[in-house]
This record gives sequence, structure tokens and C-alpha cells, in this order.
Amino acid sequence: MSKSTFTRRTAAGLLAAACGGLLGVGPALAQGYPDKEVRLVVPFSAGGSTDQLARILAEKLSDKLGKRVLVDNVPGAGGNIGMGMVARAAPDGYTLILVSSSFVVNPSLYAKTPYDPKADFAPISYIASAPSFLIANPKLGVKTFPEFLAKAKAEPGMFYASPGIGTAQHLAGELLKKQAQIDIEHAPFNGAGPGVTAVLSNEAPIGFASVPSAIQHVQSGALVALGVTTLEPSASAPDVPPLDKAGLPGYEVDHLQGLLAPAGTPPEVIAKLSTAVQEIMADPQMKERLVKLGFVPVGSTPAAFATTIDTQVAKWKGVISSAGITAK
Amino acid sequence: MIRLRSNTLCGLLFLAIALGFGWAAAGYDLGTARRMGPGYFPLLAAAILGLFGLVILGRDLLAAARGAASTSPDEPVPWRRGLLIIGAIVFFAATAAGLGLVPALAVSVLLASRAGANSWRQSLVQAVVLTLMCTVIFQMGLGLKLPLIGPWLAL
Amino acid sequence: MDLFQALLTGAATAFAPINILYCFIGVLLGTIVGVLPGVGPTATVALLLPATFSLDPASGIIMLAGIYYGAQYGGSTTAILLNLPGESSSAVTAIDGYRMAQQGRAGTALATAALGSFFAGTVATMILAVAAPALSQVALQFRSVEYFSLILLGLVTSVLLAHGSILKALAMIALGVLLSLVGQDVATGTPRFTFDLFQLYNGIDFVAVSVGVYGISEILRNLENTGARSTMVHALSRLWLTRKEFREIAAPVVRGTALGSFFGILPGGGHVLSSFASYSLEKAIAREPSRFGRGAIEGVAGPESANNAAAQTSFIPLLTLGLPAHPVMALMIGAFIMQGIVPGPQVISSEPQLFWGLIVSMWIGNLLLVILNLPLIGIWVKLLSIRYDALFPAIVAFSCIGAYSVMSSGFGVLLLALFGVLGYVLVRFGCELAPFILGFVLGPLLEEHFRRAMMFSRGDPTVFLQSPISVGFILLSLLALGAMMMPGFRRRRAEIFTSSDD
Repeated sequence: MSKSTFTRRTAAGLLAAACGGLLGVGPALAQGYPDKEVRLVVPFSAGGSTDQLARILAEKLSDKLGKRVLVDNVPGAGGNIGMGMVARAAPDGYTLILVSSSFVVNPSLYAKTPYDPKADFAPISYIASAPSFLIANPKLGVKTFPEFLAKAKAEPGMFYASPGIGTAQHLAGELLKKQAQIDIEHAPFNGAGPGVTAVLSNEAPIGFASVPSAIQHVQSGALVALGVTTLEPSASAPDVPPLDKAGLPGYEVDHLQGLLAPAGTPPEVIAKLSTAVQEIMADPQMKERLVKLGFVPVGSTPAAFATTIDTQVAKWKGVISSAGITAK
Repeated sequence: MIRLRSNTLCGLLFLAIALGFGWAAAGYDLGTARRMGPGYFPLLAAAILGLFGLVILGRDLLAAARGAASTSPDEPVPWRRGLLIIGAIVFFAATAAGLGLVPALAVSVLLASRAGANSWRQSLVQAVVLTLMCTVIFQMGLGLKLPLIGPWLAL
Repeated sequence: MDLFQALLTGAATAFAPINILYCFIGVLLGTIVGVLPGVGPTATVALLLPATFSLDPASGIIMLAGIYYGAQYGGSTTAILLNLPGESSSAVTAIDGYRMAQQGRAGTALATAALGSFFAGTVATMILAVAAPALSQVALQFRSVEYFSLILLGLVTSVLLAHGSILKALAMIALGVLLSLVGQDVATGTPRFTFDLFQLYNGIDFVAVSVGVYGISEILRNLENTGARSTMVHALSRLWLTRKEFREIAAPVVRGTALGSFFGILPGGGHVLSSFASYSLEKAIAREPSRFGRGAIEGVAGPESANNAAAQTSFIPLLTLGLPAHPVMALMIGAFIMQGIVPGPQVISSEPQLFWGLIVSMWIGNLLLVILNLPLIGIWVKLLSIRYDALFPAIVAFSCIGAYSVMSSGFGVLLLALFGVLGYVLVRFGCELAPFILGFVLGPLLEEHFRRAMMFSRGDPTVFLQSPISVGFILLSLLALGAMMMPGFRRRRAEIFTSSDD
């Protein structure tokens, strides 16, 4: 399955290159790439984990490519606004996008998305994954996940905050609701900062938040971290147990952070970007910096990223339809 | 012909805008008060605007029935000059990317300048000076993303 | 003493010659882009962000902050001189500032703005130094319910910004809110009122709306008759304030500073409200409210102070909660992260040099702004002695380029023309623009908080009456509305505005 889409994408790229060749712009474009600023779209507001990663990546990519890579935040509608925009952008390598899980989730979540994750994009690299915490306001009076489960069963209808519809944190909540068989209700916010603040102010008693956006509040005691969504504890907070081990065996949410270009971007441009990204990700200093921020560095090849996209689209389609999650 | 009163027109304008937006909003998912869809709040806002429009209209019609004078402004609408200004802006909108900054702006400034009490010589000077100034400030100083001479004029 | 120690740490960073230099560069750049309509601080900070990476974290952030408040100040200059407000806050300054300029008091208005801003900046800097950690908790008292009521209060009191019909002012607020909803619904992604135009998916741009309804419509109005235009040019005698004027602005500046300092702490719309709130307050308590909208110096002094104070204190939610109050601040979070600093409650303790350095540098920046701008006032004012028939083509040119640069597309310029015509028509009908602009700016926030508050209350609208803070705001709104409807108040208005339609 992954192979076939990959070839289709390559074909699309070749076709675009051929068209470009006919017009006499394509090869010259790829050869001199980049000869101007590159725009890296982040489909979320500034300050969230995808934004953080994008800014670090943009800095390193600027050095590697010799032209400035500018981060452009296009937030809204669970990332759909930004992703739809890049899907329609000129495939010349000057518009790239760093996506999170919503990229593979939204097509199953929304009745209509302004993009197709496979046909509209050319994958470059799965940069890193970012685990999330299940956080609670201290006023809820729970310190551990089992205590929370008991509380949630006793008080059905509790709201959980997320950075928005279709974010990995939203799915983490729905997965929790389904697997733990508790009645909790989704409260979407507009970005990571507002989502965490909602739990801090006790507007929502619990919430899911990426480790980077919540770690300081957990360390200061303003928030309680009940568990982490990955199978291994986060390097930045080794005391917070994986939910998988805290009482929900098999619970796992992968938070991909991946770099893409619009489909039809010349293959040479993709190759150049992919090489640059993999060199960046191989740097131990870069790895250390990402781990410190709460990411798990990956840095895959375009082919491997394409496979991941295929598997994840299928996985979330299953979860969403069996859990009956909708965008509303 | 009945001379339309300023407040009547004002009420009608608000009412028309409210009806337009309200009609479109009603076409979106309204949702419930608890989980509002994209149409709920706009419909509410349109209803409020429509209500104000109706009251403004109603009060003025009542005032007209009582024979009160209209509050229309005395100044005539400057049709020719206004069209020149708006024309200048629309011209820039349509041609900036195609003709490039220099020709598009020069023509726009010339058009706008004709709306004022300027001689042709003054208008030409303004067009040259302003085009030069804007090119230096915006293009060279601030990196505006516009070609100086656009693709339509490239050979 | 702990605080004293902290300020010393900050001063050591901020007074380093290199940082003073970067602060100056930032303030200068900010003033320049602020003066030019449409370019704005957001674009400038976005462009300069990468250039700051190579700098020391403190230097980079000090420079970016300098651009931010430099641009706020520069924006007021254009609003006062040319009636071209590029930011919602300068839309308030334009109301009386531009009238003052028309009366030949442009120098006084600009000096008032500079002095008010400096005073507000100084006080707000001290507030930050004394109470930043404690104040970060205030933002947590405000949830969707409270924000909704606060924004409602702001909208209702904005009727005071107008001096004509109350009904029309209320309708203008509703119109502003409605137009602000154009674009994709943030919660579901449904495009609303976009006519299938992709350019409208992100909403109608503020610069096109504001420059259109103020700047372009003002030109159209001035073209109505040649005689009225000569009032534009006036002998410009003074560039400074008289003793009487100093007395007049003292209290508004202090009140504006207090209001602005408070509003800046609230990231969900506080910053935007600050200058509007200050203007409403000044007009409400003035002995002669009729002077407002006709060149009242308090109408410049209060809002300018409030805006600058709020610009400073909005660094509290930014630094401690990572909540930006302004697009520029969102970019600054990026700058922090690039330097390896994640905003959060520990920034103050883990990065004392940076935190206190930034605070002290804000004060230096404000000082530099005054030093930079006071001599410039003479030059700005000379601009006004240009013949109006030669000046307005320049306004058209700047507005076009400004509207173009926002989206790098001619679409923004078309919107400019559209809103120029709309503004002209509305003003001809006796409607006023300030309530419209406030509705347009606050509309999306009003919807967001309303929807979320209703969700948390499970559809129960009485939730707005269950929080003491919210009840307070709603009572104040009702009080304001009631006062406006009161016969006494109306008579007073009617006496002044005999052409009113009541």
C-alpha cells in the first residue's frame, strides 16, 4: 500500500518536473534551489510544540540551505487552514509545512478536509515525536492515574482541555475515554498555551498537553501530571509513568511531527531537503536540545515517512470510527 | 420623486446587510446552545444588527410621518473625484503584480491626483516623486515583495 | 532586598552598551515601520527574527521588544497626522488626535502621546518589577465567562466613543462584529461568508478595514467641497505643551496608565480594550464630553498612556503563561524558544538576567523613544504644511502599498477600496467608526469566549451571572446602557448635537 502511493507521488513529481521542463523553469528551479527565502508553515499558533520544533528546524535549515527559512503560523480549524493552504501552494520548494498528528487524523475526523494527506503532499521527513501528559489541576485532589479513574467514575461528565479538535491531545482524550470507559467531555481550545492555561485556571479540571507546553507547570507544582501517552517515560520527566503502565495497558498515542512539501515539488528539491534534515537530525547537539524540550528525535527518510503516514491514517481511521468521534 | 431620507437609507443599509449575513449564517450548521455550530453566533449577531436597522428605519419613518425634516447632509457626493480615487486604488489592486510597482503606482497616483485641484504638471510631478519615494522606502528599505517592473511588461 | 537585587541584575544587562544599542535600533526600526501604514510591527519582527538568533538572547529579545513598542508609538504618529490608523489602538488616538492636527495642534498631540507613553511605560515597568509573579495569577481568575462579560462591557461602553446617535453606534458595533466573523470558523473550519474566495479564509485584514474606513473615506469626505479642505492647513505654532495643557493631561495619563496596566495582564482581549476603555472613561467623566471627537487633548493622553502601559504589562502573561496578547508577542515566543527559553512560571527564576534585563530595557526603550521622537515632531508637523491636494495622493499611495503588503496580493487593496466606500457611506449617514472598529477587533474573541462559556455551562446562559467578576462587568454594562438612555444624558447630548435624530 505504501509502495503504491509512493510511486504515485513520485510519478506526480516527475510529471510536474516534466511540465516544468516544457516551460523551461523546472530544472533551473531545482538546481539553484533555494535562491530566495523559504516559508515553513506551521498550522498552529506560535508557542506550541510544533511551533517550537519548526523554529529550531528553520534555524538549522537556514544554515544548511544558505537562504532564510521563515516560520509562518497559520492556525485554525485543527490545522486544516494551514494544511489546506500548503496543499494548494506552488510546488516549488519555497513553501514547506511542519505538521503534527492532526495531519493524519483530520481526514477521518472531519466530513471534509481541504487536503488529501497522500495525494496533496510530498513527505520529506518524520522529524520527531512529542509525547503528551495527562494533566490535572491540583484542586481536583488526585495525585495518580488510578485516583483519577476513581474520581472520573464517581463524577461523570468531567471536561478535558485540548489544544484543539483533531490534535493528538484530543485523540488521546477520546482514547482514554474509550479504553478506561469513563465519561469525560472534550473542550477544545485554540492552541497549546490556552489549553494548558484552562487547566491552570481550573476552567477544565483535566487536560492533555504536550510535554514541552506543560513541563514547567508540572515542575512548579501548579499542575499534576497523571501520566504520559507514550510507552516510555519522557526523558524530561522520568517520574511521570506511561499511562500504559499506570492502569491502561496498551494505551499509546504517537505524536508525529513531520516535514512535507506540496505534491509535485521537484524530486531534486525533496532530496536536497531530506538530506539537509537528516544531517541536522544526526547532530548530537540537536538531539540533546530536542530531548531537553520534551521531543523524541527521529529524522526519517521520505520513504519511511510515507509509510508512517499510510499506517497512521489507517490506524486513526479505525480508532475514530470505532469510538464514534466527530469534529463537534 | 420622493427624496430619500438619510436615516431611512441608513436603516435600510443595516437591514440589508443583516439579512444577507443572516441568510448565509442560517445555511451553516447552527448546532445547539451547548455545542454551537459555525452558524449560531453569526445568526445572533445578524439578528441584532437587523433589529437596530429596523428601529432606525422605523423611527425615521415615524419622524417623516410627523413631518420632521430629514437630516441629510448638504454637501453633494463628489462622484467624479470619488470615482477617480476609488479607480486609482482598484487600478493598483488589479495591476500591481502584473505591471510591477513602478508603473502601477505611477498611474494610480496620477489618477488620484486628478481628483484634487492639481494642474497636469503638478500631477505628473506627484506621480514621479511619490513613485520614486515609495520604491526607495518600501522596495529597497523594507523588502516589499513586488517586482519593480512586472511580468506583463517583461519582454 | 530581593526586588532591588533583581532590578540591579536587570540594570546590569540592560545598561550594557551593546544592549542599549540594540534597544535603540529596535525602537528606531519600530518607529519607522509604525509610521508607514500597513507595514506594521508583525511583518518587521517576522523578518528580523532570524537575524536575532546570532545575538545574545537578551540582546535579541530587547531589540524585538523595542520594535514592538516603537511601532506602537509610530502608529500613533500616522494616526494623528494622516488619520491612517494601522493598529486598533491607534484607531482611538485618531479620533481626537487627527482633529487636533486639523486645528493646527499636531505638535501638541504628538508631544502628548510621547509624554503619556513615557509616563505609562515608566509606571508599568515598575509594576512589572514589583508584582509580575503575583499578577500572573490574575489572568487565571479570568475564564471564558469573565472574558465574555468584559468584552461585552468594552463593546457597550464604546458607544461613548461616538457623539451621534446611540442606536447607530450600537448598530455599528454589530456590523463590526459581523464583518469580523468572515473567514474560516476557528472551531470547525467551516468557511463563513467567504463567497468561495480563498483570500477571505483567514478573515478580512485589519489594515484594509481600518485604513479604508478612516483614511480613504476621509479623503472622499474632504473632496466633497474645496472650501473645507483649506481648514486642513493651519499655522503650526507650538510643538510643545502649555502649562495649562500639562495640567489637562496629568489626570488622564495617570488614569490611562492604571487602566492599561490592568488590562494588559489579561491576554484574552485586554490589550485591545485598554485604549478604548481609557477613551470611554475620559469622555464619561469629562465636564464637557462634547469636546471629545473634536480635538480633546484628554482623548489622546489617556488612550496613548493606556495602550503603552498595556503593551508593557502584557509581557506578564507572555513570560509566565506563554500567552501572547498580540501577534508580535506570538513571534517573540518564537524568539524565546529559539534561544532555548520556554515561557513559563520558571522563566523569572531560571532566567533572571533575561527577565529583569527585558523589564529594565523596556524603560530604557521608552526613554529612547521620547528622545528620538520629540525632535522628530517638528519634522512630522512640517508634513502637514504640504498642500492637501498634493498630500492626499501620497496617502492613497501609502495606503495601497500597505494594504498590498499584508497579504502580498492585490486582494487586500480591493478590500481597501471597498471599505473606503463603506466608511464614506456610513459616515454620511451619521454613523461613527470607532464602535465599528472595536466590534471588528473584538468580534472573534466575543464569539470564542461565548461559545466556550456556554459549552462549559452545558448550554446554561445563567453561567454569566454565577461568577462575581462577570456579574460586575454585566452590571457595569447595564449601568452604562441605562445612563445613555437616561433623559438627562440624552438631553445633554441633544443640546450639543442639534442635528441628532432622537
